Amino acid sequence: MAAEGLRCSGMNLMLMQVDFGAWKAIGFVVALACATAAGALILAHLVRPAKKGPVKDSIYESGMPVFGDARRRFNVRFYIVAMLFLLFDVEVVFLWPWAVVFYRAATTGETVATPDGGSVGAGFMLGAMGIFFVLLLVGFAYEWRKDAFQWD
Amino acid sequence: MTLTEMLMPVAPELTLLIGVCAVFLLGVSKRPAVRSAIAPLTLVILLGSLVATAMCSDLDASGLVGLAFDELTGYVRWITLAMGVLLLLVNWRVPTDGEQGEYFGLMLCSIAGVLLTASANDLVVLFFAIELVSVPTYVMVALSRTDQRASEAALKYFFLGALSAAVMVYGFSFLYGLAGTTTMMASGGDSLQATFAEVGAINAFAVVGLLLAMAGLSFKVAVVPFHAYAPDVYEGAASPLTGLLGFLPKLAGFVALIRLLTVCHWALPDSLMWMMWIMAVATMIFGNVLALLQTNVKRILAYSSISHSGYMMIGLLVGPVLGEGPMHDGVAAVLFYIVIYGLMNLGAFAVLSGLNVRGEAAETLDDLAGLSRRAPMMAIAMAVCAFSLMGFPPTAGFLGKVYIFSSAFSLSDAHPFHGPLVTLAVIGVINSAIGAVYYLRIAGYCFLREPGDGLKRVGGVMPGLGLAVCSLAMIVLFIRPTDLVNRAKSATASVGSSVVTRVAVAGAETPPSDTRPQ
Amino acid sequence: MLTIGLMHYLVLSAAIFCCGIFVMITKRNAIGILIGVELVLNSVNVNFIAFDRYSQQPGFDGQITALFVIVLAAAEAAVAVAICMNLYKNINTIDVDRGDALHG
Repeated sequence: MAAEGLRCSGMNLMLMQVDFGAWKAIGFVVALACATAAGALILAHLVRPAKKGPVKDSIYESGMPVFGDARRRFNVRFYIVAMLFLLFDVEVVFLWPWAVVFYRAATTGETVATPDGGSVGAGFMLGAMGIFFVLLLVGFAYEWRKDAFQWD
Repeated sequence: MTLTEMLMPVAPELTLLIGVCAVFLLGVSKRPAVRSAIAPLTLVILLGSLVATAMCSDLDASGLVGLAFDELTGYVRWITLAMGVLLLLVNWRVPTDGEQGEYFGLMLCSIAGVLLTASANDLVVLFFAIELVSVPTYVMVALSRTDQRASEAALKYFFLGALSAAVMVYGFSFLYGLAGTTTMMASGGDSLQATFAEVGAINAFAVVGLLLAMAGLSFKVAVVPFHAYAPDVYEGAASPLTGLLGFLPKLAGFVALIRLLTVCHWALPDSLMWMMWIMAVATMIFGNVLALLQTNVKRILAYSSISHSGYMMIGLLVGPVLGEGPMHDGVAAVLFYIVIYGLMNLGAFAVLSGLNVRGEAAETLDDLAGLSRRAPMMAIAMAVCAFSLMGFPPTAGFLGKVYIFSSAFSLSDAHPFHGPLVTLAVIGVINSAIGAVYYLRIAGYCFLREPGDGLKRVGGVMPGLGLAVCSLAMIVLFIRPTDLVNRAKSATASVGSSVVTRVAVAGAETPPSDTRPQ
Repeated sequence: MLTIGLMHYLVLSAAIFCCGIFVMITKRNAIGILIGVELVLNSVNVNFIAFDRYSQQPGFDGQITALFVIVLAAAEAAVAVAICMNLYKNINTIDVDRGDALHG
């Protein structure tokens, strides 16, 4: 493999032997833990008396008596809530890199170079994010009009 | 550079974007008059985008990150928007009242995605553009009909499509790891193309990345073994929409494949070349043989769509060969063929959507029986499209096949892939003959069978107009293909600029340093 | 001592990728399959971030790409949920094995 052609510094690790020495002790502890747990269960199973009954299976002391299965079907309306939440929640990640650059540009007056040799300042960035928000607003208005925010 | 100058090159895309917002917002209007004006408005937006394409001939993208414009972009813009108008005409009456906004808005999104695919110069932009083509189509499948089959088709299409997109972008991540940048081509500085010139495509990361990216894109163009969704989705979606599904994702997939292959200088490692070769053979044979077994016309056309992808793979394997006529350029042949395919496929589905049998949309061969007695013009249009799909003169499908198959002979004898490509062309010709059986069967049912009861012509002026243009175009493009061929040829010039050496040094194992651009 | 390098991240992402594909193949519930797709997309993110971290090139291409992939994953999830609801309205379940109207 042409390692010199690769541009990532970590790439030569591909050729390196991984040292597993440090993991031996952890592996031993994990094995010991598993063996202890399994051993205790097996031992208990062998020595305990097996008497089954409704009283024996009932909830001990302070528990609540169960009713129904926890894995019930959810109302399908929750799907719409999930859908709207996902969209508007996740779109906001675009704000994060923008905020980093914008903060510096707005506070220090620094400009960012564009590929054609020019540069843009904070005002341009604000306008760009404004367009993004207008697009989000269009989606919001559409959903409002479609009554997606109504529970019934 | 002012903002206007900066945005001028993307004016067609911007027109579509503003149009999408307008169409979506008008679609939720409570007034029926506004809702019924949406389809004409969409037509105006598409025509506006065509005007913008004609106006922004000065394609200076220096102010835009991740986009680049060349002749291929221009070609794809023209054919996508022109086909978009036809797709709109055929789909004019598909959405139920109250869903026109969503349906046509999503159609515009998909068209904008194809335009962006053709101008993407960054892996991220390319990925997003392809998703912009596909994601709206998943929703449109669910919107196009109200029955269970449409929902199932949408679900199936979505999950397989999402998986393929994920696999593709996983491949992109390795290409990024190789180059350290997501820029595909740059005149100076770091880019994927420069990296490939430096290290060649035999690098482990390059092979894994290209393999996964090509696998993901193979889904979009429905190539075996990524074809499984096509028959079910085509059957489940409404017929007019199926014409769209057979064109937009396929075009985007092939354009993206052409861009990726340009980035690696059309010098794939032998293993990947053979993989594509095997996929092309399997696609042609699977598509044609399975189509023989179907009785549902939509499923027949779905398998035929798969086999046509196989034919186009041949052109992709040949790649651009410069300095010769239009008959000897694989990429130009693909670019020409995909337009022809889009037209004839849309025409065939437009016929199906224009017919009702006892209140249900026509689907099976029996539904078409005796069409020539009930609706002679529809039967003639169907026959023209079937003959064109078969590749029979005097239709443009014949020219498309001739260009594709003859391009396979254009590599020099000494080139290591000369022999396999000739074999591939022969397999392609044999498959065309197999394909003739089921296309003739469709035409035969239309003309030779006694009509069943309940066959009725439905639809309106607009879908009929779309169908007429599709079938007339098949004849016109056969008589006068020159303009389209020349445009396809000049579009190839931009992706072929890095392979001038391809024919000259063919034969010897091309050393990576020789494939460096310029 | 073990140094965590690029290779470890690539192996991790490959493992997540395989898990995602496995989930997609084995799950019968549409939401389960969607979780598989999300896993595959997250493996992509791990790859991009790791390559960005270990790259010698200037710039943040990989990190920005990861943000875009996250947003795309959310958009796809929303579309998937919408399509699931559409199917639910028709057959009253989102168990994909119950959808058999298409003989494929």
